Amino acid sequence: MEILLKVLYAGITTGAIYAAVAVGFNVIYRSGRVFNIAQGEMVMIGTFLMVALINSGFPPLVAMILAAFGMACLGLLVERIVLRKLVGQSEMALFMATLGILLVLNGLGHIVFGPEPQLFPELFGSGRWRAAGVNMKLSVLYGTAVIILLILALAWFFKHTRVGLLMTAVAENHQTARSLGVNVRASIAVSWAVSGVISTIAAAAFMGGRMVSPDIASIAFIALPVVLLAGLETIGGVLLGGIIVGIGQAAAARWLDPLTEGGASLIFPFALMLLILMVRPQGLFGWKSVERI
Amino acid sequence: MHRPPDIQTGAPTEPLLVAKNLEVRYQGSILVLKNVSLSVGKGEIVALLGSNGAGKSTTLKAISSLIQSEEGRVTEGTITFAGERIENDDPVRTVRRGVVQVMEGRRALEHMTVEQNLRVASAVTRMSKAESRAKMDQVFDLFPMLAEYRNRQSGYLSGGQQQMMVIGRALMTRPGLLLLDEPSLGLSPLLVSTIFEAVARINHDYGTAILVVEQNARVALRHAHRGYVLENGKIVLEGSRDDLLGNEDLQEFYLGIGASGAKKNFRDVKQYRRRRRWVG
Repeated sequence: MEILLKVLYAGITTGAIYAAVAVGFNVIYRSGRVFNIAQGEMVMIGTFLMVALINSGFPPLVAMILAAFGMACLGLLVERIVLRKLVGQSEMALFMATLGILLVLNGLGHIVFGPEPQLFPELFGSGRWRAAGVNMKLSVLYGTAVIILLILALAWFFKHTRVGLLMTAVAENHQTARSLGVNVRASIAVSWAVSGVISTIAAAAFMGGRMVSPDIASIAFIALPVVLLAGLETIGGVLLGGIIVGIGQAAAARWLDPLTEGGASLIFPFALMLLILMVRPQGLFGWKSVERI
Repeated sequence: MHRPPDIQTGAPTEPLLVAKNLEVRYQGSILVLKNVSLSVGKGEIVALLGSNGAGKSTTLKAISSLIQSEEGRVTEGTITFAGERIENDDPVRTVRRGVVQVMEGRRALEHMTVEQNLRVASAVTRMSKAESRAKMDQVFDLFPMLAEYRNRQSGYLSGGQQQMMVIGRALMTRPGLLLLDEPSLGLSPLLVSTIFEAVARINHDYGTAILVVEQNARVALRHAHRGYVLENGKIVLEGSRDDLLGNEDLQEFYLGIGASGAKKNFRDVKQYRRRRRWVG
């Protein structure tokens, strides 16, 4: 029982990190059908921006707000300079463009912040909480709670607010949205800004107390199975997708890794992703277009 | 059906939309419309008839400016709506001015519910919640079937229900002019009648002017006050409903009725048309 609870704790908390990165992917994909492979770089730059701001004496909350603003501007800049020119091009062309953005941002991260690992200050303290035999870090619990609230708030925003509904209409079909007077360009730009803010909040929620280097951008690749498992258009669904992958990975680490020399937990997310894609190509909560034959 | 007196005679009412000498090109070179002039008066239903590829949809998209996302532009001529020039304007601004197009092929936002589809349209015009609710009630009053399915995902509605929803959705933007592209496409005759009766009601109850593109000339002229016939990107015929219904060419080509009153089959009409083109 205790082992099961430990697996659940590890699974849910890592799953929330994946979900936080995945939701950034989805917000952008929905608006412009752009699969932004540079999402990990956005999280990395958000992280280092916060470290730099906190180190220059800003209180953590102010640093987070400033970094979120900076990341929103970066998102807008990327959209304005690179992607706006490519509207109407194939999804492959857009994907290649984001690959270019990945390389530029990665290089920029190394140049501006240096390759050396830096300490991300503890934001939620270093307290621990022991319950039912599981030793939990309070900062991780707070981070998970922040992410769960963030994703639920985003899901609500896209379903119930005026701007959210307009952005969902853009996600459905650009020309139909345009025919109703929805400003498609503005909607795509807003989604890049929102994704920049999400990257900063993800960084603030999970990086506290860790050594961070530009290599943390690779978290995007681990979040990829979550995106495909949950579906590219869902917002709330990534939470469940993240938790499924997180718990599965923790369980594989606990029970299968000893037998496979540590390989099972690495393979698990991708194996699960392939399995789901075979059964439901659109993912668990992705949109399946209704075709009339 | 209610008709303003001047419309009964086919005389143009005070113009709401005026397109003058329109020339439209795609990608700067492919000429689709040549010297097209048409007008829609306040409170009028105007039909734009023609066969496939005549340029009917292009005309509507030129008015709504949606043509821009297909790399098309109005290269000559002007379009004015309520006295203001709107050719090559931003499509978003065109909707805010009160010109909204219901595109061909229904275009439901298929993963959203019926109610969300309607709310998107009211969100664009920033109307208050109370007004949005009142507008939605008007739509449900017009199409009671939609009220029943308001929480259903719209992709799973039938073709007829989707057509009702997209017309209702366009109404949510408070249009002064509704551009309808082939509302009868792929629907049973009974549904086509229902849709056109609703269109006539929108026109009558709210005074919304309507420009409707149709291949089904019979049903369109049953409700329209005036009409234009477009062929190969040019207006070849125009007039009041009665003028058009009495026109022999129109009877022959669009209503399938020969001069003798007997219905001609499509092959005969087609051959006749080719003959006429060669001789002419």
